[in-house]
Amino acid sequence: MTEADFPAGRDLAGYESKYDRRVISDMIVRIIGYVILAFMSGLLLAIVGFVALKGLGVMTVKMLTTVGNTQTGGLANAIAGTWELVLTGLLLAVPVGMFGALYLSEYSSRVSGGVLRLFVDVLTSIPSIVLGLFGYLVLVIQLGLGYSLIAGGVTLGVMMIPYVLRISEISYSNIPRQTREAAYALGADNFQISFRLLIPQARAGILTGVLLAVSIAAGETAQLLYTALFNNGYTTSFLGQPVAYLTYVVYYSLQQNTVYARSMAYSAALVLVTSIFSILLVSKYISRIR
Amino acid sequence: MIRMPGIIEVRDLNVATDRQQILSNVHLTIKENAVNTIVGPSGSGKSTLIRTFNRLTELYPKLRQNGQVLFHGKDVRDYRVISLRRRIGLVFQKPNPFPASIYDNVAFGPKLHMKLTRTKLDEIVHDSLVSAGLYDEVKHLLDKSALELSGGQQQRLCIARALAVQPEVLMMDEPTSSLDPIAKGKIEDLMMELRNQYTVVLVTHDMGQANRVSDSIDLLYNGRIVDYDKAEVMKMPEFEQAKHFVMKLAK
Ligand SMILES: Nc1ncnc2c1ncn2[C@@H]1O[C@H](COP(=O)(O)OP(=O)(O)OP(=O)(O)O)[C@@H](O)[C@H]1O
Ligand SMILES: [Mg+2]
Repeated sequence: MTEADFPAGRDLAGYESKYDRRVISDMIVRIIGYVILAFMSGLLLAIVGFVALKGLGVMTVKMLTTVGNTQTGGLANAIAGTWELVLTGLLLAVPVGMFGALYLSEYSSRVSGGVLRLFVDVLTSIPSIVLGLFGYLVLVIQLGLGYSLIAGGVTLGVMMIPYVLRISEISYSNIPRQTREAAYALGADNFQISFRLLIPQARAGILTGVLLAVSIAAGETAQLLYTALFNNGYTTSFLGQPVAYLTYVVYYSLQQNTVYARSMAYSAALVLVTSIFSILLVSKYISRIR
Repeated sequence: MIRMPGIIEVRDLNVATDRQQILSNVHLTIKENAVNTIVGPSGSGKSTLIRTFNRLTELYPKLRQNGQVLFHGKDVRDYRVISLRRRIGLVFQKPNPFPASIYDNVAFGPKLHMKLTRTKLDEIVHDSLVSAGLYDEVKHLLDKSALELSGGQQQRLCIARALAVQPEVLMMDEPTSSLDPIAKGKIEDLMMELRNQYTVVLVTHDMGQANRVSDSIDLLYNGRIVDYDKAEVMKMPEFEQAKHFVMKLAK
């Protein structure tokens, strides 16, 4: 550093002490950042490490490929059932979320938009066991759907709507006003603007929201306890059969006192964590490229 | 015998928000097959004025409007807004291509209005890019993203996109304000060429440009059309700042 870098004489003292204070506060902020980062990565590593340690030791190909009843057999029916439930949920959550978001970002008035947003926020904050109870009373009992893929999937779908909707809404509103005006100036109507401009432009964002919703839904239990129950075999229709799912195996088999049942629980946990991680990685990649 | 009106006639047009009068008693004639230029300082209401022609102002519910804009003698509000906007094209102040390929940008408009075969669409895209003077630069990159083009190329792409729906009137809102002199020169040449087939409405800050390309020039000042030929009007104190514009307009 040369003399010219600092004002000479009396001023120098003030200049330097100010400079020092900034360096120190900068350092404190950075240290706090590192501590939080270390804590979070430690926590994550502990959870993943625990699941991997317990799961990998007992995981076999047979565990993944045979049907089981939480005491004996494998996880194949629970794996299939989990995805069946999640996909059924998407049948509800994707259209409602995608078009609800379009309505919110493009066509809602201040009042109707505010009301819809409030509903969505309330929906997010409803405890999942309450949603499960609602699904049981309304879908299973009142509508007579019984324990079924429909009842479980729809209950799960209700919980997924806010995730799809809020993230889609952000990606619609990120499309600049000038882009919309260009389309209006060419004579596009609202329908064409939605389907030829906004939805195609927002599709990466919508997909990110869908994947987030999937990764959260795959790990839910409480909505399904009273709506999907469990199934010792595969579920092959929307109605009339209960459905197996992984979180139930984790929850139930862990309480059993045979070693094999517990190893089923650990394997189920490992399958869940691995799938959810992969989905999140894919969604990170998608949001990176677009 | 009634006087032959222009293709667009503005009659006693007022546009205002709750807080501000944007246009006051504007009368204006846009002549067919000519470059009709509107000049005026920033904030004088030029963009708002031309956006009333294709009813783009309706996207802003806060803007209240009275008076008339006639297109072929009929109030623009009596047209279907979709066909009105197809017939009166607009190139925006800032280049605003869609984040899509060059081809899809130009094809977007025609596909809104007609079911077209691929061959016909290819032909429209080709012709529009040629008319906008961009074809030779992009003929091998039609699948490339429009956002990768330079600013000047993007603006010519926006012109091609507007031409692709075969409008009768092409409005350009300061189309060269963000461009270098060479890109600007190309667009100015283009405007003079376009006047043979289209009616051009040009908004610009640039007096040199106005004098180079225009068949007629109107001065908008504080939301009013000012008759800069009348010396006594120009002596009024509120036009003090407009003098800068007028001095350069005088030929
Ligand atoms: N949608 C709107 N809501 C409120 N005020 C508006 C709106 N559109 C325009 N205005 C106001 O109207 C005035 C004229 O704006 P306009 O964009 O038409 O000016 P301009 O002559 O095009 O200026 P520039 O040369 O800077 O583009 C400005 O004071 C602007 O704030
Ligand atoms: Mg403007």
